[in-house]
Amino acid sequence: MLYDTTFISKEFRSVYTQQGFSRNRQFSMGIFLGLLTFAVYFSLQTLKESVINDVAPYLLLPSYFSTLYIYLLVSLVFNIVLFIVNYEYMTLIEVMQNRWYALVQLGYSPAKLIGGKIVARILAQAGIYTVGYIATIFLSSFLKFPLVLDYIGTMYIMGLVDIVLLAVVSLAVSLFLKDVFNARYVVGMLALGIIGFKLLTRYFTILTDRTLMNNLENFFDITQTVYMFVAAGIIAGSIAVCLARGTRLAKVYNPPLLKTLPTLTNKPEGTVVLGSPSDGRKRSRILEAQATPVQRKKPWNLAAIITSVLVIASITGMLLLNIVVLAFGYASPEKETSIYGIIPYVFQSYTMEPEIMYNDVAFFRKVDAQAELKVGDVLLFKDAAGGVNVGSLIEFVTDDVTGKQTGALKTDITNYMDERYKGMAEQTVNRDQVYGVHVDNNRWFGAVILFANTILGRLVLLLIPTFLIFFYEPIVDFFRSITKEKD
Amino acid sequence: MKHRKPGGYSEPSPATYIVQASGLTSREVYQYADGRQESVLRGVYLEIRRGECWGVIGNEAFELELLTQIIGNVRPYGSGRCVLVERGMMRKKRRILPHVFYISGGDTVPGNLNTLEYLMYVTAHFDTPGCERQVAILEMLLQTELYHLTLVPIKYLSAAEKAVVCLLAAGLSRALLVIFSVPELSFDPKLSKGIRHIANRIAGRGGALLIASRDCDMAQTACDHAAFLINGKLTQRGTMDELLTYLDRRAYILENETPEALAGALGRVRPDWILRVFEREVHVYSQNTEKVAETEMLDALLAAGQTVDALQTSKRTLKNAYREVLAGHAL
Repeated sequence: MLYDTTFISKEFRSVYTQQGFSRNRQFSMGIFLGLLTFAVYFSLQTLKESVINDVAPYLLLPSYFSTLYIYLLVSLVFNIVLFIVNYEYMTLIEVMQNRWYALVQLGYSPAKLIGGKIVARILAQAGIYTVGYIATIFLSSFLKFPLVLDYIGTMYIMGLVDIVLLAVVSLAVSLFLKDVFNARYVVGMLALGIIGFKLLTRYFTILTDRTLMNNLENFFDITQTVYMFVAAGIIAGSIAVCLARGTRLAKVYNPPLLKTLPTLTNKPEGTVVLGSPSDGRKRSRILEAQATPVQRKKPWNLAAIITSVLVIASITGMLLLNIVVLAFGYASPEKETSIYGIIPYVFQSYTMEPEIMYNDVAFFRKVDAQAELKVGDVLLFKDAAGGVNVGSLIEFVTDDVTGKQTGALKTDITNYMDERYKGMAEQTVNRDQVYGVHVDNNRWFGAVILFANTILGRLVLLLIPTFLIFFYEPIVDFFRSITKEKD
Repeated sequence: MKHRKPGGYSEPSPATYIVQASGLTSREVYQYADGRQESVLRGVYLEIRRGECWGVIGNEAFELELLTQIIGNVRPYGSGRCVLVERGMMRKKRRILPHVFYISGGDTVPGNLNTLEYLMYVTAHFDTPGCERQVAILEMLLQTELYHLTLVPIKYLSAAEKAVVCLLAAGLSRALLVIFSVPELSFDPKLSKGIRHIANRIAGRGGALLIASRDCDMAQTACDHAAFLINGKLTQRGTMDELLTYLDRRAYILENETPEALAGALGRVRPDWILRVFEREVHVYSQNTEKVAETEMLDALLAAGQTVDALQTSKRTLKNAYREVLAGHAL
């Protein structure tokens, strides 16, 4: 077997030791992203009658638009994770680590190496992205959605711009950050910055509009968004920085960044080495080594701490959510759950809209027969048959003769599907039948409960904490190891 | 293998001296607890000629690193003179010079290639066709007895093995001075032998290898010249044979239940010998470079009326020589 590995082919290989395996892995990653997109799409479909439909209806449409939009998000998140995990192979940090030293010594041109790295990185990421995009379209075709080629092309280009932007910015930034540990977090922050910038430039206004997405020119209309021009500028600037700084750095031997100072083994206690700064300033000296043994660093680092906190928070959050879901499931008209005098209900009715929307979690304050009520209060009460009802208090019933309140209350629903039936749900209930007054409701919590009650939700919320509990140590170790600097 | 000319590399140099360092003093200083300051490297003299392989042994990794970084143009120096390949030192520090290949540890090799592939990869710009190049590299791996590394992905190699892979790449270059700065690593005999072969290869094309290490065994195997860097000064430099002959005078190691009594009795018989006791052992040193003959040793034992559990002839080693030098410096 002839090893004719070129720089570009090595770059395409990423972290893997075999070219073929790497190619297959990249292809399968694309397919995986397509499948993941579909899983997310179907999960979101279970939340159709929730706040999600009001906030982001474009995620729930029976259309290629929704699946592809979700794919763009999934692909962006995937690329961010990939850059963070494989930072050392995917960025130009290897120039700072002198990994190109032998190459430059043996005749490689630094400028060509930098150019090759940029091209390989963009092509490799774009390849995975394209495979995933095609897989998403292919899977969507089984749902018999109408095929609209106009926005399919536009969306592909917009997703590709994200990938290219993330790649070149990460490459450029890696030339300024020697500390791999911090650099990984910077990549994550950069990605957040890109998303924030999109929000600022009203990029999502176009991206979420099917009609506007039919025409790519809308993205280049400066009156609608400046994102594309700024993104093009950032891409061009990042490439220029990579070429200029990267070439300069590749021509020198870069001193290694040490997490701890070297220890002098044969010098008396208290001895230090003072070095001259590289800029030749004579007055200030920098500490380069010391005799006093450095206290053994705790095996914890920031990455491990953050990961631990996230893992523990995820486990706790998911378990709490499971408990809440179980409590809600346990609640019945006869035996409702009350937490500190507050009764929560997943409100699966349109009758009290707009005050309480379908699938909202509504909170009722428990009240006794002496509690003061006022007209307009939304009441929780049991009717004569023992069924739980919710209605708005419209009137205190008075005795026709004496004019005094009888203690009975008139309630009605607020939302009639047909105006002709208005008043048909009006009920008169005794004061002692009322045991709750509506105090608040939460739409997002309702969506979460709704998701948690689906099969996928139950799986996710039960399996993930179980997985995290069992694999807590390997996960934390992994994040500790990828950010570990050589002393 | 035919090399394509790397940028800035001119015709092969006719220079005899690869390194000429005289009175080299570092800009870095030790500051002691009492506030006293002293240069880390002081008045270093070192001359390396073509075809030589030098091992600089020291007790302070920082000093060894610093010396190689100054010679390799990675750091500036305070005073003195350092000439590389009779060209004078570059003003711009850290700049990669075509005639100097600087290796510091093995972290600069990518983990996702195997050794053969890496060597093919770094030589991809040579004018030699791929097949021919691969055969040449394989032959080199066989000749250097490092064939066990050939197909192992680099990420699975030890730090010392990775450093040797870097050295193999340096062996393929045209750099006249290869600096192998590995004070934190120790090498097994197989790797040490491999380094020796690579050093021969570098010497064969007119270059020189400078190894900075604390591994005396490796240095003894790989180098033909050695020097000791002690307290910032380069002392006792010379060929390996000279150093071993003049510095390692331990002749025998005697083992006995009562080593003090044995040493006392022997000392009375042969007051011209130097005797040192280490746990159950008595080390016998001659005062001059002449080796103590075995019969002489046995006669002395007989005369002292002593028996020993074991008598071992001490081979001359760089480690012993270094210990002697350290003892001379009361370290």
